[in-house]
Amino acid sequence: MSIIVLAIVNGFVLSSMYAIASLGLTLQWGVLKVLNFSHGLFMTWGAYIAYWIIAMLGGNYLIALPSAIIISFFMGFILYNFIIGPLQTRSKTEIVSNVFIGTLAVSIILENIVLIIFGGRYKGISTIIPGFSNIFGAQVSNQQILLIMLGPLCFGFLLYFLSRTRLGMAVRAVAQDNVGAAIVGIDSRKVFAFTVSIGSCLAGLAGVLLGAYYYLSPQMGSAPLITALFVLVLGGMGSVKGTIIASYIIGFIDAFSRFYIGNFWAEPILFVIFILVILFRPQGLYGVK
Amino acid sequence: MKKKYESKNYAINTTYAVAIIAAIVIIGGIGVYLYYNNLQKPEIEEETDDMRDIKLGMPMGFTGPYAALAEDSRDAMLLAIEEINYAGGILGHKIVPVIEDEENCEAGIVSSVFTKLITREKVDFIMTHFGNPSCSEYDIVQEYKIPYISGGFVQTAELVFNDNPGKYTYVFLGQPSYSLYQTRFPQYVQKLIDDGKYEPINNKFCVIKRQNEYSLYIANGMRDNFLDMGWECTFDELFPEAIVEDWSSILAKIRADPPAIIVNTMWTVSSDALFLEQFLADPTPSLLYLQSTPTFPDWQEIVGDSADGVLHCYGIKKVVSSDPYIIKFKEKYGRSPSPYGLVCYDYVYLMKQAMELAGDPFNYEEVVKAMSKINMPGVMGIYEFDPNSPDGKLLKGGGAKIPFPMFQMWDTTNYMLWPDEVAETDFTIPPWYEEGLIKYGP
Repeated sequence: MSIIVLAIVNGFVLSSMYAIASLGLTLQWGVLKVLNFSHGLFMTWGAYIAYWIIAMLGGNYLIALPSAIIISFFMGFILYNFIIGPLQTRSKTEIVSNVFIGTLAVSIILENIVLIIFGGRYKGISTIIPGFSNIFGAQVSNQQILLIMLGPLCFGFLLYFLSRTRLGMAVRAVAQDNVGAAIVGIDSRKVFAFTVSIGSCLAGLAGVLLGAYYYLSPQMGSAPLITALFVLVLGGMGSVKGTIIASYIIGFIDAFSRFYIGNFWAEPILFVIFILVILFRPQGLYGVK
Repeated sequence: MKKKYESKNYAINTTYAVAIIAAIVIIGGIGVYLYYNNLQKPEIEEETDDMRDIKLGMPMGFTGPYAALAEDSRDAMLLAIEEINYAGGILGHKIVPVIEDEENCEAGIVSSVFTKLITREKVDFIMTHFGNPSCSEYDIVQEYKIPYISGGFVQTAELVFNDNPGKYTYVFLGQPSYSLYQTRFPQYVQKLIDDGKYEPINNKFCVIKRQNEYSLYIANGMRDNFLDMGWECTFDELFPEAIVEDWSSILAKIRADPPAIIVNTMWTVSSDALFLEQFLADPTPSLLYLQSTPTFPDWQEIVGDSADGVLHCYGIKKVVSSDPYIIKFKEKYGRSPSPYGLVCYDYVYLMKQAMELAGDPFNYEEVVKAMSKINMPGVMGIYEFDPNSPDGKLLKGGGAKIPFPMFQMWDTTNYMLWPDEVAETDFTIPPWYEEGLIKYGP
């Protein structure tokens, strides 16, 4: 009984983590149609900002979490205005590859800045909610329970923002028809910049949560980035709804493979799914052909 | 219209032609100038070996997954270089470090870095904490006949030396054979049982390892030794070469059929720290063996005293915090060194002794010959190459040389338990054991 409970809890934890890690990336693709490869490093930065505030300055999560989110927002703003934006205007035909390479370069620079400032050694920050709880006979950490709740919460927030606020509607308008949005007076460049900033915020938040759950290293953002790409492809590039559903599908497949097949096979199984999706449904679950 | 187009096209061609001719004239002119200048220049006395410094190549993975170890290794080497230079150098020659980044230690990168160090930087000696995991750099140093000491991937190196006897005369490993890792812990558990210091709840053990040569070599060897001793393996789980994000699936297996011994050779600070944290939430009455990580300062900092009672074995003698070297390192860099921050310091002195024995730092053949004569006490232990190791390229391990003791961790300090000649304290049942016994005991 407790093993199946653990597998289910684990499925929820992984799904939630994948959702938080990939929502920002999805949003950016949905609006700008570019792949921001520095997304993983924004997670790393979010985690290190929290580490810097909590472990080095003696602060707490009430300061660290908003700080990481705000700093990530401004970093995203800078990223758009200095890298993605100029690349968008200079080349109309190869935007995706140019932005991909540009943001890849940014991620290498950001990783090395972390290495220079904090060194290569692993770092740990205290968990947000310490302790363990017993769920149907299975020991689950409170941090995991928090993660389980935060995934849907982030999704709900993003959905609310996109459907109920004027700014969110502007983002959707630009995502649907850039020219049409311009005709009704929406400045698409501002919307793009804002979207990248919001995506970076989500990456920063994911980084803080991952940092509190695991441990920090300059490379900590690369594994979540790869999973986020899986989620993006399975959910349908740019679909927020698809991202959430894909996160839960991948999370549960991952968790049950680990429990019932073996940890070694969890990743290859995900890769097989990835290949099958590309072959038979390249647009993903909710993407448009 | 057509005429205009042709004319424009013609104009462009002319511009290009003029530019190409101008470039040829300029390059040719520079070539002629340099040639004449060289001919007429009075011959400058070439720098002789008596005048030059010893260039020490230090390729390390500063920007990859081994970055933390690379930093420590570099800083340790620089500390030794500073000391040696301050004391007058080696046979009057100062050491000049030439540092290069091997990134993730991938074969292509390592090969190009080594080639650059040898052909462009003209280094006289190369040393590193890690080369390439498949030892791709061996052929390069051998081809150019540059003495080389590496501190990592010993299990692969042993295979390479065994398969190519006498081929890599310029390559040395600053480590003993890792075969002792395979036997130490099973032997120690048996000794504890024989001495009546430990009564296992059953004769079961489990193995956790990852797709990495080091981890596999030690885990598989240890597993086979336990099996030979009549133990039963409850599971032998392999993980991919990645950070483990959650241990629930493994801990569920452990709690479903608690083994007396848990062997975890993942050898990753974050994965092992998470394992310990999740294991201690609901512990079983098991002894926990972790490979290598308890010796790393970042592990000690992260887990603190929650690691009390964890067992491990490491190919190094105990280095106390009051050791003069540790004090020096901490004073200079503001942190404690990892084990690679110890051995790499020793490697520079190893090179010094070999060069002094050879009598000429630039006679590489003699330096290499002198390596086999070395008997040097270092921070890690006593350095002596073992003629019985594959091709005589590995250090003597065990005994009083590099002792490979069993350690138990208490309050972030590792205490030596065995062999008896180096033991400083007795084995103590880990603090989680009683709690585990109440819930999971027989």
